[in-house]
Amino acid sequence: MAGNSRSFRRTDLLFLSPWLATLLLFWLFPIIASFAVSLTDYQLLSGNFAYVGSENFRRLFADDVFLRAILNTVVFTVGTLPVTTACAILLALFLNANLPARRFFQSVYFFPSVVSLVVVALIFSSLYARGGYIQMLGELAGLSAPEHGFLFSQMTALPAIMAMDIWMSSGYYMLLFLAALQSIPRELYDAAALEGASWWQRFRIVTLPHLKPMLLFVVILNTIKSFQIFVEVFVMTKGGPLNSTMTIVYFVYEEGLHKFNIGYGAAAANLLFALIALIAWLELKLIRERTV
Amino acid sequence: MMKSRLLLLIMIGLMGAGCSQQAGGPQQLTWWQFWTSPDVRPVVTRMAADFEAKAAAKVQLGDLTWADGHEKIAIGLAASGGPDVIELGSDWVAEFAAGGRLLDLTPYLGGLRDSLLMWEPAEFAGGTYAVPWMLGTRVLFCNKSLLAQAGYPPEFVPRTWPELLDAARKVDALGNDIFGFASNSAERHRLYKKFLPFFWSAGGEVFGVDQASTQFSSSAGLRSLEFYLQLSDAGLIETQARLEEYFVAGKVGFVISGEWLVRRLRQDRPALQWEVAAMPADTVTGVGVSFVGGEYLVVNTQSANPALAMALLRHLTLPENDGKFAAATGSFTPVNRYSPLPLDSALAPVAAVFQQQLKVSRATPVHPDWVAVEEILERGLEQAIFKKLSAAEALAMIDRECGEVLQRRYGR
Repeated sequence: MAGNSRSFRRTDLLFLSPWLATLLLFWLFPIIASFAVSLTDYQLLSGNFAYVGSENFRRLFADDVFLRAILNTVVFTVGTLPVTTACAILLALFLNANLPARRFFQSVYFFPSVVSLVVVALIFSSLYARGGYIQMLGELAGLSAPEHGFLFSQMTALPAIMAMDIWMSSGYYMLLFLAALQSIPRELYDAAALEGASWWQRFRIVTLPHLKPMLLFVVILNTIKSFQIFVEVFVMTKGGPLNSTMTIVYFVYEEGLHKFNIGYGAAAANLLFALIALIAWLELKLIRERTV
Repeated sequence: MMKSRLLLLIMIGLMGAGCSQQAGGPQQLTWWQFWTSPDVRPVVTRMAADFEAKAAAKVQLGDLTWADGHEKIAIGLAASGGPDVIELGSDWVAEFAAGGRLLDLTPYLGGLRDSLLMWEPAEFAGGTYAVPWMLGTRVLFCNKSLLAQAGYPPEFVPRTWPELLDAARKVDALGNDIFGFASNSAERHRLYKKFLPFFWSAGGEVFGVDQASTQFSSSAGLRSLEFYLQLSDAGLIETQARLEEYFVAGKVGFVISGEWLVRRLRQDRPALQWEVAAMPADTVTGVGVSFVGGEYLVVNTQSANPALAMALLRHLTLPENDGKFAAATGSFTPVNRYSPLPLDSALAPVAAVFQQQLKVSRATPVHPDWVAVEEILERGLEQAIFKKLSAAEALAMIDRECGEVLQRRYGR
């Protein structure tokens, strides 16, 4: 029996080895290497480095651009997360009702999330430009646009990227919520209806508790994604104007791959990792406590 | 068991056979380059194929993009190995040479020095680390229809700063969706290329004699930045790509751009009335300097066959190849002074303006810290354009921050 058990474990290990190798090579090693590099002043091209201890981390907390990047990333996350989640739930509720052309609307809402992010960012850059369609629509509604277009104003550049992100992400999360909604037993709604529950009561007592596991998943997923925002900034604003759209990942990119300050960039990346881990843990704890 | 051992032996044998075939085959070169457009890529492929036939070698082409090419090259060079030959932007040569990643080509150059133009960006710390491959200067594109609407005669193009500013303001006043001047701002790696020509025209020099400080807060710096700010106020602030779109759409009076815009105007908007003019002169110095950028070919220090790599560089810059390449890219300024450049009659005057401007054009200073200086310069200019700092404050900030970076290198 013991021999069988040992042989079983070896086979397990054999089958797991590709995954384990990937984990060690592409996950664990980069994390450790990145932390090790963040303790040096490693320059990519010269290859020279010296151990500097926590100097890079100290410099980061005195770097206005990095602090601005943290602030912008937090604003982006806090601004997009609730709106995206609410839009996704509303769209899912709308599509879960027995409406004509349901499949058509489902495809329409999901479509933005399958288009290349670069393509979407380029299209939105045109829409946001001076004289673009968004300015024209605003003028029809009697609203004035920024002098040089939405992406060239410190006030509107980040909100413009946030709006695009909400438009693009809602459809994807909608599909997840729709799947969760469709798994709720119909009988629960029938029973609630028999008891005379209103739409809001049915939503609060039946729908919402069943959506909570998916809500937890979406909130954590969206938070991580929001903290890693890069492509939109790279294509649309390059962190400007005046660092108003500088985000943490863009900062890491600028330091590491443009200025070649690999050690400093790695320190910023490690802080981002710690920040995401902390927030995901807090969200998990908070939502689980509320669910219980 | 026997079977599996036999299989293993066969596999090792086959691998060995593969290796020996490779060792006995033609010499191989890897060449990374940026030309992926359907107009130019076939010409590049043809030149590589001709070289393969001539040198009995195999050239493996790798494509780069301007969006992430710098990063890809940096990683490629930092890793062991990497490509043998690489196309670099002119302002990257010093940076990579200072990192010890580029081969000093001085012993290999021979007669190339006499036939090719613009060696300045290729030289660093007494060595020559690159060979010029393509040059491109910028001139002032003028919308003739808008100038006519603003009351200017058909032959008018601005020759001086005051004329340009006055014309930009008059065009800007034509309507809400018409803009006088196309101004770059908040766009990294572009903005400095628009400011430096005015700075140079005003007599400014970026670095002090000892290279350990910048001199932007000089009178030339102040005059040129104040002028750029006035121009920006009489126009549209956008990215270079979008500024050109606005010009092609007939909504902008003046844009500073390169040869690629000529091709685009002819293809996309043949009816638009436009003209090119040399960069306007500062009335104080009487000179209108432009920016010249270029593509340079370099050899990786880790290349296994530097002589063959250099032979490829020679082949690519031969007059017949350079002429075809210039024609494909729409360039009016071939890098080889002996290159043939057939032009249709409509383009001859346009080409003449570019060729004249090239004589009064400057590349970015060759300095290993240029990328850091560029970043600080653009950050400071942005502060002034968005009115967070006055011109004098922004320039002082730029000099101060650049000084900190440069003094770290020079150990002061």
